[in-house]
Amino acid sequence: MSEPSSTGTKPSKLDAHAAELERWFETEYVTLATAQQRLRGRGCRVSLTRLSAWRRARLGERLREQLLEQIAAGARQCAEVERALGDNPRPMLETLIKLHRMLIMKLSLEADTAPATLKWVKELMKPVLEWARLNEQRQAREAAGQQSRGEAQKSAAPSTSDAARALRPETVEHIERELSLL
Amino acid sequence: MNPIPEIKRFMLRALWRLEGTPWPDALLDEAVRRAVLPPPLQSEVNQAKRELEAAGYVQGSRDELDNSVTWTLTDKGRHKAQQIG
Repeated sequence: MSEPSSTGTKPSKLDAHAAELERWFETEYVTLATAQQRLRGRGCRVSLTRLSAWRRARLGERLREQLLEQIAAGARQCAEVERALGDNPRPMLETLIKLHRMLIMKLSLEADTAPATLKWVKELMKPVLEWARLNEQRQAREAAGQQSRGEAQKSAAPSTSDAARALRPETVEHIERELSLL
Repeated sequence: MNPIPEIKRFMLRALWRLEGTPWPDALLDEAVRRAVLPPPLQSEVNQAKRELEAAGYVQGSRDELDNSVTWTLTDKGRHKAQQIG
């Protein structure tokens, strides 16, 4: 990993003609053979194979740059969400589900989103649901401990206790079913 | 042609653009498959990650809760990513 080039390709004599080549290929839609002839007129002799490889490498690099831009935009959005959540108390499960739905909807609207991407977005919710399950178990243990000490009778009615308000397995299943609808 | 150097370069550039946000392993793999043509094999992607980690450019971290892996750049990785853009 000692080369400083972002594309990893060696410098080419065609790089000096990059602007013209891009204009020919993308605006004038010339063939490789025509581009080769025009280059020859400018004193640059190159084989069709070499010209084709150079063009492929340029297209590949443009695709990568586009992808990197999307990644950077995604990171900025994540930072924004985290900042917004940071100003408020810890987000409740419902807030996370709403954010998650929004993300799925946004990705669904983007024509080039691969189905695999939506799958990964759905996967993102699993740790949250796992946390909710663990939280429910912890609360149940705490409630049982309180009961054994005889303090449970003094706490609020069962319907408003922490354990009752925590997610039950059926509720988690219901949420999972809803998330899978998209 | 061996795609591993290209995969490694892309990984460093991608993690650099995330500005410190840990990136889930599966999403990193997906991005590499979209960025490198022809799409590399999973074994090649894994080897690239192993080599980057062994060289101290990236750091993988496993979440105890869900066993998921996320990746971030190390100081050395940040320096290298800055060089390659």
